[in-house]
Amino acid sequence: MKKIGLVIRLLGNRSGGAERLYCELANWLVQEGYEVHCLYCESGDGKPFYDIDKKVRMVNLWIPYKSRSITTKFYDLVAAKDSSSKIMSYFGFLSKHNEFSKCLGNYIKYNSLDLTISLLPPANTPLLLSKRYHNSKIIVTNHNVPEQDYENKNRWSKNPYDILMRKKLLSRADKIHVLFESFKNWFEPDLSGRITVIENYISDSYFSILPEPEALYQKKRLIAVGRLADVKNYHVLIESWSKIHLKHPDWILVIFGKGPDSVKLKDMCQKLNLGNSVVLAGHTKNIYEEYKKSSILCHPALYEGFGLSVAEGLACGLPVVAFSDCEGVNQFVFNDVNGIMCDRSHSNGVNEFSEALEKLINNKKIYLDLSEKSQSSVKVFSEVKYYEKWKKLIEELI
Amino acid sequence: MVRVDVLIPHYNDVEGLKLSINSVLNQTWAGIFRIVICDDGSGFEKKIELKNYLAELNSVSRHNVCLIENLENLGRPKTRNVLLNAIESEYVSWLDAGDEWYPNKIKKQFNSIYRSEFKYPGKDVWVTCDYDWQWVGRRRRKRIQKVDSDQLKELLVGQNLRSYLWTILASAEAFKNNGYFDESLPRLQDLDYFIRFVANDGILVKPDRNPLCVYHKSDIGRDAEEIKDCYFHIHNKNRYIYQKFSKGFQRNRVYDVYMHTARFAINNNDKVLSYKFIFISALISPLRFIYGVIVNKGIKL
Repeated sequence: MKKIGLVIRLLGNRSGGAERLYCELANWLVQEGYEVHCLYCESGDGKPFYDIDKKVRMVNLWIPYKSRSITTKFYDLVAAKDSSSKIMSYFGFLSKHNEFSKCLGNYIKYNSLDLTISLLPPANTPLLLSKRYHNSKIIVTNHNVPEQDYENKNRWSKNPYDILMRKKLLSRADKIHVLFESFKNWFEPDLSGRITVIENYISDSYFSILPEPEALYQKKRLIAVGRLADVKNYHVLIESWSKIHLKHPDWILVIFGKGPDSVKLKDMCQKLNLGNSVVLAGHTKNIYEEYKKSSILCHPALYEGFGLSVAEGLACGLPVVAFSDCEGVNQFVFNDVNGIMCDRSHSNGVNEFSEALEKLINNKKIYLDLSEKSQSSVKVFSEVKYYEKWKKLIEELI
Repeated sequence: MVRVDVLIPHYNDVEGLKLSINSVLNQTWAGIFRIVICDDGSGFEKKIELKNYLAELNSVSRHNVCLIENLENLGRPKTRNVLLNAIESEYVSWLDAGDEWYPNKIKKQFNSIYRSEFKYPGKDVWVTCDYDWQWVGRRRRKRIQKVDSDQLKELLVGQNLRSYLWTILASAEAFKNNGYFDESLPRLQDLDYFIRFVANDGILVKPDRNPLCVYHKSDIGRDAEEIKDCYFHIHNKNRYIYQKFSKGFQRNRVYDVYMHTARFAINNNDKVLSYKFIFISALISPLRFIYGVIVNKGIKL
């Protein structure tokens, strides 16, 4: 029986998209007959938010301070003092990754894992560092635009040495996963042979019902789904809506999601006197039902890895309004085909976004035309194809 | 009717097997046993003897008896994995040729299983039991399985909770969820199997404090070096678990390995090796060694 390790840094009680993919991948691998080891590193005892098969071995590689090696204690001590200088950033890097990568290396070696797959940069780096301890094949997966994961100093660790090594260590990977074909271009030419594209998928249930554009239009509801964080750019959506909401009193905007910006966005709604025409609805367990009650999906995000909520909205027949430079969305939303893609170059694109919304609200013919094509435009992201690609990739390596 | 698979690995010990199977047939539990024997490449004569015995047994017993034959000697872990693949019943128990169950074992353990289904819903549970330890030529000693404290820690220490597979009764699912035995461990693969079970949220329970089986123990023919290597392989595999405890605890486990394997060496008349292991133990933890010598008035292995 072949053994596969899945590595992620933090797992307990985390409900993000990457954690969902992680748990689903683990469950699927068990069904395929692999022995699956889920490796993570966190101080708490939190259980995974998503269901995970009992056959999967859950291994928390976190080591309490008392058992850490003297070298790691030294790195911790030095790194805690100052991390501004170059040499200190090196110690900061070691303090963060040294113990985890050693534990990973040891676990992979003595449990003879044939293949190890890591998700997100905080796990990719230590796994690639651990390569010197074992011979297991390694796949690193990227769930965002590579430029954001590898160059954005505000995403993941700000430590300059960490950012440098994140890129440099990629040469140790056997395969590098990206979400879209065009994301390949960011990587160095010598890595191009190892890059493999697997898009995320939309659950089969979304394709079980054929959408009815006429009925969807009558719902008169704009929907936005995602974390209330800067990157999702919801303040532009609210500002755009404030410009036109009085002209369309029978339409409302509902935003699903929680996050650090929730207070800021609430204040903004109050200042702009939006009253009941904007609802910040928080989390919902059944977002599918909410899509079915809506007419248009608004997604003003700056960038996305895949834009799952956009793809799911399209599968439910909702035309999308988004920005044309949003990378993980412009791969499958095309202007005047299944949505309207706005230009962001003038004043954050507020006017363009409100014009696009108005175009769909006022012009039923255009709405019906876009809605008609929505579901078919995302049929390529099926669950079957997703797992077929994973299967092919794994069988290629082990 | 509820059925229990009794999985028995066998190699060249038909007399021991007869003793074990008789103890299964004498159970007071009213259900049906499916006794699965995996012969691990026994010699020609032993195999004939085994087949004759099983044919006779099948003709008189109300229980089912099956034989699986390995074409060559694959060793204990692979044989146990063959047996895992042969599971058909809802419940599973293990037995090694030469060890015996007392008549009430399965009946009492079933009561524990039913209780634990209410007590630990959704969890995998194995029912162990207290047992007697019978060294060749000595009288029986009662051993208690301590399940009411930190089970993982107790398993690693190996004094009050021991990884004896033939004490266990559990649902087939609880075994299957735990995966296969590590085939790179010729010895102690059951310790590794137990550690994995408890580390993955599995729970060990037991009926009341009465021995329900007997282990006929002997160190003869057991290679001390091989056992030591297996211990260290398990330490390395599960280092992340050992590291959850203090450095002193980890050092004590290494000390235990050397003292324990010194016993195997001495029981197999390898005095040089046993002195070497005792010396290493003394180096690893001198204070514990001296304390042990004072308390036991000598070296106790």
